[in-house]
Amino acid sequence: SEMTSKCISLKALTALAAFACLLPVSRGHTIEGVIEQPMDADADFLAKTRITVDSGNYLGFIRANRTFIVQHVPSGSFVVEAIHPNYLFEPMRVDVASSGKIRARKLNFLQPALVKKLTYPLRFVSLGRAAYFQQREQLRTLDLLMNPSVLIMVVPMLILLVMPKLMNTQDPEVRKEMQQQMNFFSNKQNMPDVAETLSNWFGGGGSSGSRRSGSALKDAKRPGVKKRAA
Amino acid sequence: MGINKNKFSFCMLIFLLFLQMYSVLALYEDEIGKHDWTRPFVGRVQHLEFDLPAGTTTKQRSQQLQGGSSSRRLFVATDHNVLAAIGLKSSRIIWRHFLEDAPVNGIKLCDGALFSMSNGLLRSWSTSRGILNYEISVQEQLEAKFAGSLACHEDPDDDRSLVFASTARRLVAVAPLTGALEWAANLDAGSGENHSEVTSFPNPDGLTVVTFDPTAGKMRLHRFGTESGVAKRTATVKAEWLTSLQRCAISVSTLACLDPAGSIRLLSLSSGSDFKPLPPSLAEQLGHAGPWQSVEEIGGQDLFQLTSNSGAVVAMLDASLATGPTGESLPAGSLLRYRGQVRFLLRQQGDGGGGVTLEASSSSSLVASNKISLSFASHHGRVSQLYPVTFVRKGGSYGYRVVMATRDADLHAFDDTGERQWMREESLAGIVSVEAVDLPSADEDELVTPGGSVFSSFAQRLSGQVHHFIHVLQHLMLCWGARPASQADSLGEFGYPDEAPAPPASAASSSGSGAGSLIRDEFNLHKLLVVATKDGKLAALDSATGRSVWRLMIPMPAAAAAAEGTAAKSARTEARIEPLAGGQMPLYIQRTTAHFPLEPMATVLCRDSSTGRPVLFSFNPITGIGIGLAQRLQSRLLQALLVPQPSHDDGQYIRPLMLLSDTLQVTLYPAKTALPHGFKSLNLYTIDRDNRLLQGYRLRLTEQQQQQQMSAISTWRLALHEPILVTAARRPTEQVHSVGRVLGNRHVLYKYLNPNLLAVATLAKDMVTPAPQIGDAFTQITIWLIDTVSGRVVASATHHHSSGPVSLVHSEHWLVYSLWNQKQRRFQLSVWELFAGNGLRDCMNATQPIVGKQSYILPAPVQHLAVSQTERGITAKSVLLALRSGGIMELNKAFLDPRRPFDMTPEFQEEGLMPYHPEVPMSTQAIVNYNQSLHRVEGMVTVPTGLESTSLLFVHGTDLFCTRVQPSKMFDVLKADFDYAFIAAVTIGMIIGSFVTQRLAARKALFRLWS
Repeated sequence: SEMTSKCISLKALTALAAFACLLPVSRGHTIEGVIEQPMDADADFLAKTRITVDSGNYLGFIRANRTFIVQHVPSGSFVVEAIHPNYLFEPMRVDVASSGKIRARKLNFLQPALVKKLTYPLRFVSLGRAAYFQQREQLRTLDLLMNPSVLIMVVPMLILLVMPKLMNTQDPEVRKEMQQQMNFFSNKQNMPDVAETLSNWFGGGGSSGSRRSGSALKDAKRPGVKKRAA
Repeated sequence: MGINKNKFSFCMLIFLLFLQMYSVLALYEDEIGKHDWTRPFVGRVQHLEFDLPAGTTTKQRSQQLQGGSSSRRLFVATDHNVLAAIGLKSSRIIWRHFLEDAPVNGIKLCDGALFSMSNGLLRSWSTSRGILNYEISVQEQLEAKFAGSLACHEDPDDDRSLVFASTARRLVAVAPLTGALEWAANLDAGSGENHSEVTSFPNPDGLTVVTFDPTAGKMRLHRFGTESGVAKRTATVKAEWLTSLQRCAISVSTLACLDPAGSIRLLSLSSGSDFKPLPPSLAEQLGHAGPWQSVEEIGGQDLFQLTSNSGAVVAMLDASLATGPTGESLPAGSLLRYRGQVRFLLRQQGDGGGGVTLEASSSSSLVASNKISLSFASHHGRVSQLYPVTFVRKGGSYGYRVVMATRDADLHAFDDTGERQWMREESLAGIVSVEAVDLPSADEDELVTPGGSVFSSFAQRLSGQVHHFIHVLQHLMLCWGARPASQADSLGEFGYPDEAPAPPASAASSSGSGAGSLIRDEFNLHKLLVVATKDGKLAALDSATGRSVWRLMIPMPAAAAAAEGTAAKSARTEARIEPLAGGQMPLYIQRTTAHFPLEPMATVLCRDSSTGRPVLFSFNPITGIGIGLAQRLQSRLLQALLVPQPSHDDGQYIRPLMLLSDTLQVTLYPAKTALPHGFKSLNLYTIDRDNRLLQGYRLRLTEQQQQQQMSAISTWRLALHEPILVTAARRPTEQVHSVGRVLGNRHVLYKYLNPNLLAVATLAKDMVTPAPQIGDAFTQITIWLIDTVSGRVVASATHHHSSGPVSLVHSEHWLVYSLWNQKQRRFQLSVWELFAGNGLRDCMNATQPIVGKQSYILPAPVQHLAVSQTERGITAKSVLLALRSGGIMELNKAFLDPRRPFDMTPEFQEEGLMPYHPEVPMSTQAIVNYNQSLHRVEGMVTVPTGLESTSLLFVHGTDLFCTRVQPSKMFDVLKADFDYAFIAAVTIGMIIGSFVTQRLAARKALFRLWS
């Protein structure tokens, strides 16, 4: 019997609530606004855009002059969204007072009480096209070469391979010039010596095996040796 | 040190977030339509208007549609509250608007613009692009449910048109072009305002509006002129016998209504003050005496069509009864429409698929009478609506088009030679249940069914292979023969210019024709989606293309109808198949395609609308051929459940369907099926939404006198006392791969994996939170987790100041649901995860799980939730959210984890947890249907495929959409953009290079030795 009485009281309550809902003559309010058409939008933009209030319970459609109205909105606080399949718009919160006064503010779900006013009539400006798709990665040779790890590997290699070739010319004039340059460098005592550092790296503490390996390394050391002799 | 640690954790966080973001797999732009398809629909047509050239007046209207109909459109308003323009030639949707969640009261073309009336709002649309011209609120006062009517008055003399739109309280007259309000009038509809109905009809002087208050049984007539809102005549008419204005038809000067006994009462709109019955003598003149089932207005001039079970009558019903009805008797199922001077009469025999003929005749000599016969496949049922339109051809001769709606909601267009122009499968907008069926495999391993002797297996194998060989041959021949047709299919882009591409069910009886190309692919990604619609139609959709493979109307059980008397027989015409209470129409796959020589078998459970008795119908889900006849059950059902395993004993491999009647009788379907070996008992439960009650039963197999008998006992009862909103249970076939979760400290949390859990959401008034100053009182949502074997509540929680819509999904050991937070005015998504407890037992000696809960803010409203399903359950789960904005968002379950910590520690990092963030991350890249917005989603179905990484997602509602979902990316197959050429080139290059260098090295060594 307790169960049934509970049931009845609940039913009565809901009936009361429903009755209370009906009693006041509620008037609908109208939310107005305008939507900015993106530059690259196609001809169907206006027909494909719709304004939803309170997650679609009240709807607005865009007229040819880009304005819209949403009618029959009761008083309360609602989220107003502009929805288009290809463009994104920032939703807003609109507070409708029972007197019919309407204000718009920034939608903030984390701090619902925070008021940051926006202009009313509403103005929707597109945030841009919705990026639904991922960019497909393409294998480009330039990308591959510009990769930092590749650069780290390749540049010293180039230095090692190419520099000695350039310097190891048999032309006496060039050799002379080079020696002059070396003398010039050796005059500056505090300049770090590239060749020496390199020889330290590769030959200094290295085993005999590394010294024997590859003619390129030997070539690399040669200028250094000459310089010391000079 | 602390700073370093913080820095480290921050870096880690960024890395994890990056990882997670990256795991949101988006489509590539070139993959559009590769693995997915969309079929947009409008729904069952309720109002239809043909586009007319702008600026025509009524006089010219009989000569409408000047020239070709290439750019012509038809406008429809449907039961999905959709307003759309459809190409009269192409059948494509030109534009489409989803209106408010309220029925569309009417659409009218007036002065070249389209008008729609719904939810108390009059809207004017440009016909070509569907852009809103203007929108007028007919009445300021809000109502829970607006009644409405729409009429267009066009004066042939002065070209002054008016659009009349009215709710039950107010009438407005609007200039169609400008939208300027000419005048308005208040209609006092009576006391029960919220339920008042309204209808109107234009007359030569203006408009007649009739409002009806069903609670008081009072009708009010208003006659308005075009000049002002002062009524020329008002009258109050008592009509207590009338239940709704839907049982009335209004014309220029007469209102004809059906009383409960099925006889006609007439009211003169110009002079009458009371309804007058049709005198019996006049009724006899009409040929049929009734009782009438419906009354319809056809083509103005007080012409009504009265329909009874045995036939129909078209009569000029004059309420003054001075002239007497001049009637014409028509056979049952006939439809008559007038368009100007042309009269269209459609005759049909049988329940559909029979001969349908259309006669066009005219009193004018300009129009040649003709009679065409139209062909319909039997699965459409009867023609229920006829919309003809006439036009003048370039040569000056008259032509016409007819658009028809059949009982299954499909829309057909024919030209005046009787040739089908197109068909739109609008029945598919009303899907209520979906089952995915694996296609028959071409793999020989499955040919031999275990359990037989060596010789029988060998014979089976041989016969099976011969069968397959014949199948392959047939398939090849079909491919050879039907190549041009299949190319036409692919071009058709769901427009379906003709019914031909998909084999109709009648043709499907030649077995292989439809199923020829339907062979399982390598990864079982290609399936057949068997669907049942609310109009009692079955169809199978190809999951790869979305094409209908076969369609079939569920037949009425004939034997029982014949057994009942003639009275019942006459009612048979009205009886139809409908979903069970609650809108369900479950499909059961009783035998899969795995038992090759045996045909697969599926069964649908529905009911007969006239008696409410359940009806079972079995069919082959691959070919769409019925197996036996539909069976009407004698008793009401409490529950129907498939036995988990098929029986191997009788060689039939059928999973029997257990039917529990309301007298607790248990029967099997099919009746003589053997139960699987070792079957002892089965637990099931029922959800009684009306009484807010859950009940559990146990079905047991008992042996009495060597006869096996099933008996049912009620095991538990749980009264929830609150309205049940939604329920969700785990899918019985779901695979759980890992039973535990390894924590950062190397401990293991074991999942609470109870396969019998049922999640229920109920709504109640919130007694705790104080009511706000304005607005309605708060409500609360309670979520219950109930063990359906014992009836025990495993866990429950209440969300105060919350309301629906609630969407619930339960999988593995977790539960995710969405609800609306009334106080904070935002949607939230909550997750529960259940872990096995530390051995604590409750009073019923059952282990209690540890429930972890967490909630998140959902920045976008959601209308439906689903979860991805994979074959072995190894792949991470994704929660799929059908957003109100039209997107289907894939959200990794890792974002919804109650263990997401507020403060990160290395242990949590090691576990791979993300720090808690109150908002669910939204990303457009996670929208799996990209810009193919899906509105009014009714359900989402996920199906595991042969690929562990991939799950098939099928979304139904007004639109159909199907795609592949890969929650952990496609880890088991190479990516589509995998660069085979590059890898091959590099490999070959390396090999060649190694050979060459070897030779060179050898040569060099040789030279060195020589030198």
